[in-house]
Amino acid sequence: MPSDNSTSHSLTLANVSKTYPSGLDALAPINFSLYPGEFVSLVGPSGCGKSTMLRLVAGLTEPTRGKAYLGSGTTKIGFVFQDPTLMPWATVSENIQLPLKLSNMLEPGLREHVATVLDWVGLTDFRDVYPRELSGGMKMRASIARALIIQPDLLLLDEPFAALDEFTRAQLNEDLLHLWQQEKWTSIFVTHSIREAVFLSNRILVMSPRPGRIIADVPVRFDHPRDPGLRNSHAYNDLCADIASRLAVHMNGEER
Amino acid sequence: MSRILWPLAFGLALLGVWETLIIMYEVPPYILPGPSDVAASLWNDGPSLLKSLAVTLQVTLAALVLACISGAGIAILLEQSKTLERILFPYAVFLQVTPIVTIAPFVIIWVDSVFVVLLILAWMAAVFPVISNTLLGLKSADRNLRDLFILYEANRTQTLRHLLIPAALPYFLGGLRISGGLALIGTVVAEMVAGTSGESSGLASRLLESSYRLELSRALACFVLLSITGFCIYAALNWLSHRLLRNWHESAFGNP
Repeated sequence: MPSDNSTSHSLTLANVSKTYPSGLDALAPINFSLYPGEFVSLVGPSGCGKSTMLRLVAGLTEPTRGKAYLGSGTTKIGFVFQDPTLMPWATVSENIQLPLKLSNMLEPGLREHVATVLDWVGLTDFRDVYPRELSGGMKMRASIARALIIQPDLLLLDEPFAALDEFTRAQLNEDLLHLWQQEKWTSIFVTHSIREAVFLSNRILVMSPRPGRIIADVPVRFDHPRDPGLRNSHAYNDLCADIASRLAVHMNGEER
Repeated sequence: MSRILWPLAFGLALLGVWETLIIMYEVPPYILPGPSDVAASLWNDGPSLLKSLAVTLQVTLAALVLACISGAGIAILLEQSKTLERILFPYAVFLQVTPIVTIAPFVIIWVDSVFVVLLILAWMAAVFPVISNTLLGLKSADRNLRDLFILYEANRTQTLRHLLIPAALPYFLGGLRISGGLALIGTVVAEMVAGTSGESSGLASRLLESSYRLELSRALACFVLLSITGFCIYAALNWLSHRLLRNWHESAFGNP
């Protein structure tokens, strides 16, 4: 992907659209830029092209038109899939080291680095365990650790907590936010949970049903660190309701 | 304990019935010998039969090792390119569906060494399950993991070594278990067609030779030894499979 040295943006999408060979329009032309260190959520109904957009940014698929530019400070990209996507034949520690191994970045200081990242996600005691022995939440922690091990400048998360129960999900939201505050990577977080998006983000891009367009760009101004009590505040709930109503306007046309 | 005891008791009971019927109806041993005759033959001809067994086993194991290496190699080659697979796979199927008895006469004419003739025929019988299962396994690697390897710019060798081969291992071992039996069957058929005789020949040749001479006790002794051999090959491959997969694969979590 070409990089764009002329801006201080971490990522810019310029008129990016995607049409599948079948003729299906997944994304209408999309324009947005991210500043370094921003935590941006993409919310929208299923099938609105959120995942396609992440794959475009990661370079896993090419846009039909337009271009995605990475900023000069963005060289390392981490990706967290909806499924933990761990290698079942490898231990937690081996799974986490995979990106380093593939990039030939296995260095002497590695053991400590792996230990640090394991500690971040609370899996220190599980380093030599195989994925099948982990709970769903722990698998996702390992998956996040694998994305963080390369110290990404840009972290892409594709509905990572969708399959988890409510309690685990809330806990992982808090832990992720804590790590982001500490490491300050730029984040794009795809979710269809408005409440999750509002809790985590500085900014929310609301997308319409297919073909996906950005219908609202909403700043979220709650201070950091955010504590779990935020979820009970009026301001939080009002913002959630506001975003839900914006989505609802566009969903009505889709109802049958 | 009863896992061994009951089948054993059942087998002994059957042998008892067989022996009783032979005595009751005075069946001559050139029509059907009793279990005691077979046992006597096993004891008396044991040393010479074991020599023949060693010959058969040598061919079988050599063919199995060859099928294992070449089958996996061919599968990896076919996985590299769709075009290559389209061109070559039909010939692999051809190898599978052609009865080796029909090819044997040609091989016998073209090749001098009996050992090599038997090896070629047994290999032809054994190789297909390894090719087809390994190919299936290579193609079954998790799609998201493949994306992850693309994202971290893994080269072909890394993808093969860290993703495709481990993902294909359970399928490969499944194929190998089928091939173990087929290698023995292939050797036996080849020996019978090649028509060697004497102590330096394999167990199947001895079986055929004994039956021509109406020495059915010895023929049955050969049959018993071949059956036990087949069972042992299966058990050994089963053990190997369990051993290699016990840490992570679903198939290894029940009883071995």
